[in-house]
Amino acid sequence: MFNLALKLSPNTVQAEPNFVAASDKIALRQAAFAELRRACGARPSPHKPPLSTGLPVLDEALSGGLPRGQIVEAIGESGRLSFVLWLLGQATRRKERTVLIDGASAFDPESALRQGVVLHRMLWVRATQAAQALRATDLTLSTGGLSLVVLYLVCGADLSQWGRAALWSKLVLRLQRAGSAMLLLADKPLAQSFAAATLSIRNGGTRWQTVPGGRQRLCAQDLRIEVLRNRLGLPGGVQPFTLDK
Amino acid sequence: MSRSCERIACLWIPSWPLQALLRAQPELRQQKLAVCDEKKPSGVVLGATLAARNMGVRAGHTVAQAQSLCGDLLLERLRDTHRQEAREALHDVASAFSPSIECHDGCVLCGVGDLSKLFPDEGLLAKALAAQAETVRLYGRVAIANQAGTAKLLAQAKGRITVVKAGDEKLHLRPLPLSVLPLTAQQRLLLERFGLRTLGDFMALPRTALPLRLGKAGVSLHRLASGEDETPLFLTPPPPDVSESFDLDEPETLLEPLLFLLRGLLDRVVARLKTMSLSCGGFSVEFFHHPQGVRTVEVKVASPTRDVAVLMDLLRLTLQARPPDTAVCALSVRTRVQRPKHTQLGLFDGERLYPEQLMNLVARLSALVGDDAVGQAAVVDSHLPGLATVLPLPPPTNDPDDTPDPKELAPQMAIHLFRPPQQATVVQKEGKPAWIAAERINGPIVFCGGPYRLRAGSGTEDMRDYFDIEVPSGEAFRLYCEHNTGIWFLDGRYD
Repeated sequence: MFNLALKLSPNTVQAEPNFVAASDKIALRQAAFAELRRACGARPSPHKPPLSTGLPVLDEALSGGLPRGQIVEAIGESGRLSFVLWLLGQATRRKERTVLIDGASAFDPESALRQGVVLHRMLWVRATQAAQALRATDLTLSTGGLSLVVLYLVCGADLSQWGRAALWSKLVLRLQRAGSAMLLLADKPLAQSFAAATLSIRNGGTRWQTVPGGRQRLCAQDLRIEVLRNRLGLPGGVQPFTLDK
Repeated sequence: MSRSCERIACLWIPSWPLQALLRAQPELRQQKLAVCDEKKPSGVVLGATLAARNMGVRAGHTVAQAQSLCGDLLLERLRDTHRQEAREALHDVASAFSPSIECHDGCVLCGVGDLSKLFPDEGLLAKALAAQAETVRLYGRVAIANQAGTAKLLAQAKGRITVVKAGDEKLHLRPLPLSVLPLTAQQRLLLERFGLRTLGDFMALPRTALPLRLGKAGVSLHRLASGEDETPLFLTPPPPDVSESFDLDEPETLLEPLLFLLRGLLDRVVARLKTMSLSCGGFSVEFFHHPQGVRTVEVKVASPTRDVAVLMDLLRLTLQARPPDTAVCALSVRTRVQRPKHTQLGLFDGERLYPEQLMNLVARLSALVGDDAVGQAAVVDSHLPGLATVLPLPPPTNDPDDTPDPKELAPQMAIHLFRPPQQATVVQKEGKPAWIAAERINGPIVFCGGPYRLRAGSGTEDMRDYFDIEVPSGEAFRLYCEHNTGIWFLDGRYD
């Protein structure tokens, strides 16, 4: 089929396909398929389904989950990393390739394993500066092909350059081409109107247990995930989310 | 069509000095340019572009003559590196067709007798050879014959493509001018005095009488002119690596102009790799500093590639981290050649991430944030919590991933680690932390769980007491105290 596509595309056939390297083949194949689609007058391929969060209220509010090609922003003061690891666990168990761009160098693999994240399907990028995290996001999105890109930007990072509209419009364009879902976590809204939805993660209280001997033990944390802004459906949905320790 | 295995193809590059220079500096092609030897800058012109030839400049003119004919003539020196790199490029072109290669300046001969399955028509083979040479910016003529000498003479004097069947050599050679023969000045003068103009005239001379007039060489010249020269190919070993270099007229310190020049070098290197169906598995850039000194920068490539954009991106990120500190007067790029990895493509793959793309992304990110900051996260085998390391990401395969996945678990609390841990001041009450002051928190502790005693090292003094605490804002933290120093650290926040 590949050869057939190549024959239909005289502009792209420069060499014997057997001699072509894999990276060239990918480019050739994409060009050939684009030409084939144009020749047939075919409509663009339907979008991939959204990436399910595994949380029913949230999935319903976001019309199925994290949308591909759009940014979903999550803000709050507590529970963000647990939410991220939950999503990464869901995605990697479905054999999806993911990337965590860790702008705070705060990721704990032990917590991730407890959450069921398959670590070899998750690329961890430890960026020590916000500018590095920005460039890493840009590189990741321009490569494409990853299901979920998580940008974790909390705790004191210098985010002065993240407020520019030009930057977000560029990232959104790259994201649309890549077809990935992107989750942005920060202390305050950064993408604002460039995000398809804004979630607020609030601490609903921690639960302590008294163990034999009179000592106390941290056993759970209650979170409330609320949809503040939503272009995909109605805002206002609240998802309770209880974390065990 | 059956062919004997002695068929020889000759690729001849006319105006070799000029083409060797223009290959390295193609932007000069439209200029009024003359090339002279680096060692004799005021000697003779070795070649001139069309614009300069239109002004009357010819190869063989002295530089002074050429400058008097064309006032705004641009004079460039042909360096040994230009010649060597162009010769190596010519070798690369021929190596795509045959392993038997004899390479000279401006001419390459290769045995093509066993290519009938790939190229049933020798005309197509000759065209493919010429087209392959054009990909490395060398424009030449190809002739195929049974003898190397015949192919060389025909390529010099005939059109772009010449194919001579066995037995027809004399027919094709007869009208060629005598100037195609490798004659000394004395021999040329003598033959002109005889009134000989073409190879046909020379062929007509009795071979046995020639040694008297032309010496020993007379017989071999006669054989060559008659298409009877049976000298075999003298094989040239392949170049050890693929390298390209550039000498700057003025020393340069800024990174952007250097990257612009390096892009040109990488373009040339990749064009040569493409001719051989090979890929770049990494490369090194040598900066020759002014007044002296060489600095080498190694650029790692995750997966063999011929994508110049990827290579440029890696180079840019590497050089931005370690830019040249003094003026650079010359550049050189040397590649590690690898066989390309082949991937089975699928019609229904969609926007799939291919292994090469992922490994290139990892290499680009590594160049940005460092090798130890990109990869697969892993837990360090230790009693202490929160220790992590980064392993190289295993190269994805095309086979389905059969790794058994962990069961779906209930949501768990995760900890946002502070790297490095923040030092804290803690006031204790009844042996437990009761009040804390650290970088971001200051106040009483509402709840406290612990201690959980863990051993940090092998000695008994390397013990730590871990506590979980909650502050009035509702945030929960992990805290520890080192036994041997008594210092408290805030390890992370439950997030």
